Amino acid sequence: MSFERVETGCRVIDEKVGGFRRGAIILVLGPPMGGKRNVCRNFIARGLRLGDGCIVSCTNATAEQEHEEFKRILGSDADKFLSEGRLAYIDLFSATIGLPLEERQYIKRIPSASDLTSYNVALRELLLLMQRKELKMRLLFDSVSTLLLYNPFQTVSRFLHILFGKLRAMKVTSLFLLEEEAHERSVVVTIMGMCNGVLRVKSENGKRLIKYESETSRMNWVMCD
Amino acid sequence: MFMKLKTGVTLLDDMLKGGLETGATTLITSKPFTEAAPLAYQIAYRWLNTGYPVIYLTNNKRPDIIMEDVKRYGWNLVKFKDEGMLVFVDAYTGFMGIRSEERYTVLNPYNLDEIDGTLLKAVNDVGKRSLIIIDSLSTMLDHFGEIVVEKFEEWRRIAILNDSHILYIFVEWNFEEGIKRRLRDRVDNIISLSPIEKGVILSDFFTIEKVGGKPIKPISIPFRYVRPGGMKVYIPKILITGPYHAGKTTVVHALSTRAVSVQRGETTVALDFGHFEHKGFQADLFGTIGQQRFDPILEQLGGETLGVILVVDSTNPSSFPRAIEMLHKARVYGLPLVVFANKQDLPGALPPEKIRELMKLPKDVPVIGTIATKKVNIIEGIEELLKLIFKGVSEGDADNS
Ligand SMILES: Nc1nc2c(ncn2[C@@H]2O[C@H](COP(=O)(O)OP(=O)(O)OP(=O)(O)O)[C@@H](O)[C@H]2O)c(=O)[nH]1
Ligand SMILES: [Mg+2]
Repeated sequence: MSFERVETGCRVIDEKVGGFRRGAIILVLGPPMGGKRNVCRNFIARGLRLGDGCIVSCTNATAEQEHEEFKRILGSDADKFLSEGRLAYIDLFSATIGLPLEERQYIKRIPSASDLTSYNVALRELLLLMQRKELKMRLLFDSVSTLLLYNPFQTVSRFLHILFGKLRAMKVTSLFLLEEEAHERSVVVTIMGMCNGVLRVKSENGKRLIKYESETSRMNWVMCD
Repeated sequence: MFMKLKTGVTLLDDMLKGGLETGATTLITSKPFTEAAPLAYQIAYRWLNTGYPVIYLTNNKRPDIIMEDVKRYGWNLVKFKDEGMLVFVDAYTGFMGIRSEERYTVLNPYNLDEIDGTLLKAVNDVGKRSLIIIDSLSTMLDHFGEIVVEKFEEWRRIAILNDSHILYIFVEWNFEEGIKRRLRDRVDNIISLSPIEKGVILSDFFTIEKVGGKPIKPISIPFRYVRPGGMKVYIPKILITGPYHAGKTTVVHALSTRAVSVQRGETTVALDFGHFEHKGFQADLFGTIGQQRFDPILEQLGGETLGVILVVDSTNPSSFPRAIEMLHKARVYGLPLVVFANKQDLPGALPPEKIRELMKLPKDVPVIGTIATKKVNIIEGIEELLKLIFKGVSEGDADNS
């Protein structure tokens, strides 16, 4: 069986395992400061360059702060992608720090990290807009750990179960970040079991290393650019 | 002594046989990609405006954020909160480990007895005829498990003793069927909200499954949430068709708050598109092209249509066979239909009943004399169509009266 692959923005993954499978849900793990956010942002940036629609969900930064990061990678194109609706944000953070819930067409704000139905509704609207433009889609969720901080594990697992189903059905290639050390092993294992692949990122002596395992491919620790 | 209060949502009140009754409980159950909270907000606002208090228990967002979220739908709750008519039971802020500003705060939201106690205190202080919103039951179930279901009988007694109404918000994450069934068995009314999916989710519909403790024949009503405005009954597609030059474009524009048409000279060469808003209803209108050479487009256009307005030029009976042919081509024959006998202002215009006869239209198809250019009978005409589309609902209403 052959699957449609997507470029990851990380050359070694593309070369060694042919990228991610389109519509796969990938869990991204790694120690703090190990560089996993960079890998995730490159995945989104690559998608934008290739013409995909990308949705970034942030629980630890406002949409504006996150957008600054993309401007650093993409320059002024980041603004263009946002205004075209190829880049969109779902901000679960602003409400937490008491900022107003002011919305723009491609920036959705969620009343709290426990209001997961609101998240779903915002996502659904963005997916519909992108689907209408016949875009291939990517999603970054940064991070599941925040959800686990504010909700019982039951709630998060129910939410992910439903969300993953939707994302798979719509072939949205998705990265979900998790701060592994912050959670019990059983929690990490359960979430891993719900995903199609696990990407690990760490730093050693100033070099970034990654490891990738999925249902169909496997790559041991290698250095990544 | 119990009273009924309207929700203010078009058709919902008809289906609830007049609204929500005090001394009773309602479950708003929604699929995970559809929100129930905005409907609860809308009902709360209406309840407050009628002069009765609202108690809002939250366990998934801060009260001030709820106030702001409600404002996005166009309702300002500040006055009610200042007057003490609206009180929050804050069972959320405690999770964050910060102090809440609310008078009724659950210090340890992991303790169901404390939640229960705080809610009771609020109910006793605020008094009778209040609307008690539990947002959300699903979060409560995740925290406390099935024991929450056991609380239902107790809470229901509170509703009866205080002549109040309890509204539970429940999101159907993958809970066990057994739990869902027990919840459903223990409430008086069930309003369910689900998405209309075609690969992607296009819009939503609501269904009343139970009223006054009795299951009813469910009728689905499409809706969407509008900011500002709240829940509106929403018809994704009404087709406006009819022969060349009959007045379709004029009708679409007369009905629409905003509309676009692509004209070449006098005739339409692409679709007319319009958006209609009236008394809690919204609809998207699609006007077809009259000229025969565009018939392939017409054949495409019929899908997903919920109702049809057939516009004919009342002075031109030779076009009537073409009018009927167009209904068949769009494959909408048999759908709710209203005929606009247009151009009634022109000399020689046939009266509607004559047109019914010539077109051999069944008795239940309304034929309405209209003057599209002067907007005469246009709104009345579409109201007739809405009645046909939601026929089951008004029938339900009829047994009530
Ligand atoms: N006197 C009179 N003229 C009308 C009425 N309704 C429409 N008209 C006129 O009839 C002509 C055709 O109207 P349109 O609304 O363009 O008709 P249409 O069905 O969209 O026409 P096509 O798109 O070409 O098939 C225009 O000149 C209108 O002003 C009416 O009620 N009375
Ligand atoms: Mg026209």
